[in-house]
Amino acid sequence: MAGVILKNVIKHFGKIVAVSSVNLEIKEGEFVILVGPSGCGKSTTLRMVAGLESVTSGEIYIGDRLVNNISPKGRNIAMVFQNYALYPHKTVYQNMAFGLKLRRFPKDEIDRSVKDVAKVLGIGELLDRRPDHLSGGQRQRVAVGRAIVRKPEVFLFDEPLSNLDAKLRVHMRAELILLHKRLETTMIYVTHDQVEAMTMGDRIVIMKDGIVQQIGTPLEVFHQPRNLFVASFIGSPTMNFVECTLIQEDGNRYLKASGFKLRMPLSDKKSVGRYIDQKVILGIRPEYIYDIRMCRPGLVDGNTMRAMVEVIEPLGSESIIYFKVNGHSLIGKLEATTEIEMGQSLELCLDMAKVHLFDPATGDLIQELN
Amino acid sequence: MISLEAQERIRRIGTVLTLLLPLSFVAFPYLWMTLSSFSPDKDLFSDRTIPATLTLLHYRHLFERTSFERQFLNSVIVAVVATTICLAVSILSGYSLSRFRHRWSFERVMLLIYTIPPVLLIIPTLLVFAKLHLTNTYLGLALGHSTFMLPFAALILAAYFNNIPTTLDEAAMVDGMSRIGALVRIVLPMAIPGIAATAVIIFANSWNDYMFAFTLIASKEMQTLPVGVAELSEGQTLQWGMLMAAAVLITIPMLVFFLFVQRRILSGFIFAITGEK
Repeated sequence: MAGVILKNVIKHFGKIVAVSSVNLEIKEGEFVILVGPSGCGKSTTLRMVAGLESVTSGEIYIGDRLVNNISPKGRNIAMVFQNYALYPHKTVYQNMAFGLKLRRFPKDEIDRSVKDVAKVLGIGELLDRRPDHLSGGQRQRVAVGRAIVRKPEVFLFDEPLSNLDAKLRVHMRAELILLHKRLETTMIYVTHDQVEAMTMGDRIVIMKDGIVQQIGTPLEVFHQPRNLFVASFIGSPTMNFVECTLIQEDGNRYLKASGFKLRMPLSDKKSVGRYIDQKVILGIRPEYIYDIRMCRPGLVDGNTMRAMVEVIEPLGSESIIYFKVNGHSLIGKLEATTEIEMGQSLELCLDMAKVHLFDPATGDLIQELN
Repeated sequence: MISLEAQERIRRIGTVLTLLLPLSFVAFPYLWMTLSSFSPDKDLFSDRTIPATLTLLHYRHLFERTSFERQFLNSVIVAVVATTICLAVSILSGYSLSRFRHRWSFERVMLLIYTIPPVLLIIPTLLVFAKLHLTNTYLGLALGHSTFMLPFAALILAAYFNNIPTTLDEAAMVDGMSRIGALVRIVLPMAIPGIAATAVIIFANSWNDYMFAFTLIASKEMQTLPVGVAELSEGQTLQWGMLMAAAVLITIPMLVFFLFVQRRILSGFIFAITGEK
């Protein structure tokens, strides 16, 4: 087991900057998720750790070793690919044993290791089959088994659940979390799915256009997004953004836009004061928008707006509601028991303690939560 | 109103007839050639389509009066060596074209080279090979054939390798293989149909080549079949019977080869073009 350190790692493909100065320290046994939209550089970063892509500049350490010039086979890593990359002309047993055979492990040790891991993963009965006779979930397990059998210092996962159906994805997510708890080995996992990122990792690294936007625990990035991109990427449904003007009246600060005027909680942060009488972007998650009938008393004062219900998406345990507030579109998450109809006019209240303010020019966070 | 069954039957008959037409263009000369090889001389220019009697005389004369056996052996050696050299180099080139980014477009250069008519390359090749003492040798002729076929073979194999996911190579390298090891132990076993298809094409081109063999080979002992058979049409009398017999015998190895590997060839081409097995 070893940690992984990336120091000022940069990757160019010709004139294109795929990864721009990534600095990341992954502790031994940590489960870190690299998440971001397609083309953000997360897979390239993972492939540089694996040794499948060269590093343009910067350093990568696995444990104490600088691995920049070490080939993949010398890095003691194992990788699970998006399309599983099982050798089609070999059986499941041969696929799993291949890495150990190359390293000249004794035959009986290979046999024992493969059978033990196959039993743990529930694929013991599939050892004589070839990959084209397996389902997607079974192939995924074999790919994971092939990685586990090698007992590497670091596991690398490149979107391993992307090709599975939704139900199987949820099931395999839980299995991978249990696997990490059992093996306690460093894992770096790449995904574009923010739900996977939030549920699986000890820490999340959010990337966009080759640049790391934020590194933190799932709750940190959810509650304290550092910029507009992180705030919009994490959370489902996505955070609501409305352009407002920050004004000061009667010793209070308000966020004013057409259709509403919301009173800000008291804040002594100097960063907010600089934006008085200027445009800011208000961000609030759908979870913190309530039907006024369901609000607790402390929330209502000065924090309401009149909205029209456009669309209702009942999910069973809750409902996703699409509102219109004087031209502004908002999404709310209300309890399933809320009595509501399309076209209805509704009074909403917002939990202003959960509001984020962003600079409209840079997208950076102005004020953190109180 | 024609029933669906009848429509289907008409469609099938139409398909068969459409296929029979080009097939007859290809098959008829071969059938005629075969029949002529068994026809006595007097029946060769008669009105009879099928000869009254069959004879093996032309085949006997071919083996008794010419160096057909030696030429056959020479052709086999040259074709096998040419196929081996060309395949070895084109597998590596095709893999490189498929797997690596290159500064400039090697594919376009190879395609350009392939468009050069071989007849333009004959004399320069002769001059170079003469300097290297490769004229009148098996290796020289095999190298000539390989050079001509290499761009085509590399491009076909590159197209085939493109349909084999690169993640397989990468998984092998992570498991502990080198790049070459991944090629040999993982990619090549999956590429056998494509390699078989390419091998057949290289072999056939070498087997049927007249131009390079006529130019690069000087002595009678080193002659290959196409050159030897062409000599049967020289002189004052054209030995039609022996010519037909030689032609039949020349095509038999390729026919047998094709019969054994035809399925692999077809699947190789289909996979290279469409990515579907």
